[in-house]
Amino acid sequence: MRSLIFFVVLFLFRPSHGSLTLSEYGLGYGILNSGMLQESVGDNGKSSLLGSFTYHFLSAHITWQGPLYQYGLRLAYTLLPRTTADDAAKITQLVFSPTFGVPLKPNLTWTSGLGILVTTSKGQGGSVFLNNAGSVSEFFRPSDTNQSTLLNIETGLKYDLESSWYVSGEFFFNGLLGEKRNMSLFLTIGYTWGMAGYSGAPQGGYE
Amino acid sequence: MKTYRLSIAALSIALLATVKAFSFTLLGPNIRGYLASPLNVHMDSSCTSDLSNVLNDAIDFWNQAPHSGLVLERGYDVAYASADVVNYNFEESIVVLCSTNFSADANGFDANSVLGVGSTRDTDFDGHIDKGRMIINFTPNAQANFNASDGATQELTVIHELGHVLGLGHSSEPGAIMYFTTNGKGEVNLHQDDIDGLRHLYAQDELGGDYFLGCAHIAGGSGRNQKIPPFTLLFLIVPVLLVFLMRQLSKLES
Repeated sequence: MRSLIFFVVLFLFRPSHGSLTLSEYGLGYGILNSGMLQESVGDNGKSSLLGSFTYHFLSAHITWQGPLYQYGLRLAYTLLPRTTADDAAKITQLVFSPTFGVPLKPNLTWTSGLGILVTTSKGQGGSVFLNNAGSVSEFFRPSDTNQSTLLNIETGLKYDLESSWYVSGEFFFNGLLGEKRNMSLFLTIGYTWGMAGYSGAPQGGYE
Repeated sequence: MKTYRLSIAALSIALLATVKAFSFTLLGPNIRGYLASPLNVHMDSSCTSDLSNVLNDAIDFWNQAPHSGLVLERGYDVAYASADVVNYNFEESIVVLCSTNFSADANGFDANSVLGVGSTRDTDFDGHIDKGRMIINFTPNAQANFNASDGATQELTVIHELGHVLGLGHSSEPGAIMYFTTNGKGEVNLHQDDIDGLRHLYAQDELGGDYFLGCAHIAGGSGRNQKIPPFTLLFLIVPVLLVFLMRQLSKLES
């Protein structure tokens, strides 16, 4: 049922009438600062509203140009998993999103998307002895693999730089209607191939 | 060329600056979170209203953890003999006991140094926790009597013990709620390590589970600890590809 609702929303944002042309495809490096505006403690032990952890992503995208808007697919995966010092468990994230772009200026595009954020926590098992009320007790590292799948509402801006490079900044929102609201900032820098780097205005010409 | 160098430099700095280990542990070797959702936390009727308020705060605290499917709710007051709570002889999933004989009830923990203990039992064949109990130290004249502690310590203690009741073990990360001591902690905030641990035990599945965009029960079934079927991604990609191919075909035909 939830998947059906997801696809209905995607269908509402389907490409409008007219043909699509391949605009660009690209590869980028992204950082996802997770848990913004929720006071939490980061790995440095300090409380902050600026997100408690940063994941590093390799991001790939492909974009088609419609008569007015851009349609794309983005797949991003963690370059380095969040991991224990002794590899007891690894946490990786995957972002998959169909995206929708509205050109604001020739090199500036407002992007939005409704995708999924998959977080995989893979345990390696084993145990560790830690302090417990004055003595030492055995605690256990996770031994199984679990996945969380969240709907990702995305919105941001993409700016095309000189010679096919681009930078983009997007906000990811999860659990918007619940107690576990979470906002993340996803910053990307990357290289595109295709229509000479500028993908804002509808392309056209005379022959 | 300048942009290329800048991006390499930014990548190197970011990688070196932020990747760090996490260290949550679990109370059992193969345990998984409770199946019940929402999960009710019941309290011994002899407990004080102060503890009741702190317990409510602790429930709110863990409910805020993002990216997890855990939903805690405050249950009703219960009246069990201490021995029944200690031996998990109760009907409810989670019971909080206010103990006036803490060392005996808490398996020998020192009433002069330990404010509370939390533990679980997993008898489910699938490894899911089915019961948990928290025992708070109200032993008269004990140095670690809960009432003798300041408000921040009381809150940290109950949050920490509730973490144990949920299945989390101690963390070696000093900033984490699940670090073994409350000493030195001035603020009560979630640590990324606590979030990672809770997410591992109570995974959330918004595509296949109960919750959509963080709320609203849309269908029955538990979304916890469910892995995404391998075809889910394919299922997501296929409609988009179909739309694209159909449009390309119609373009060729015209």
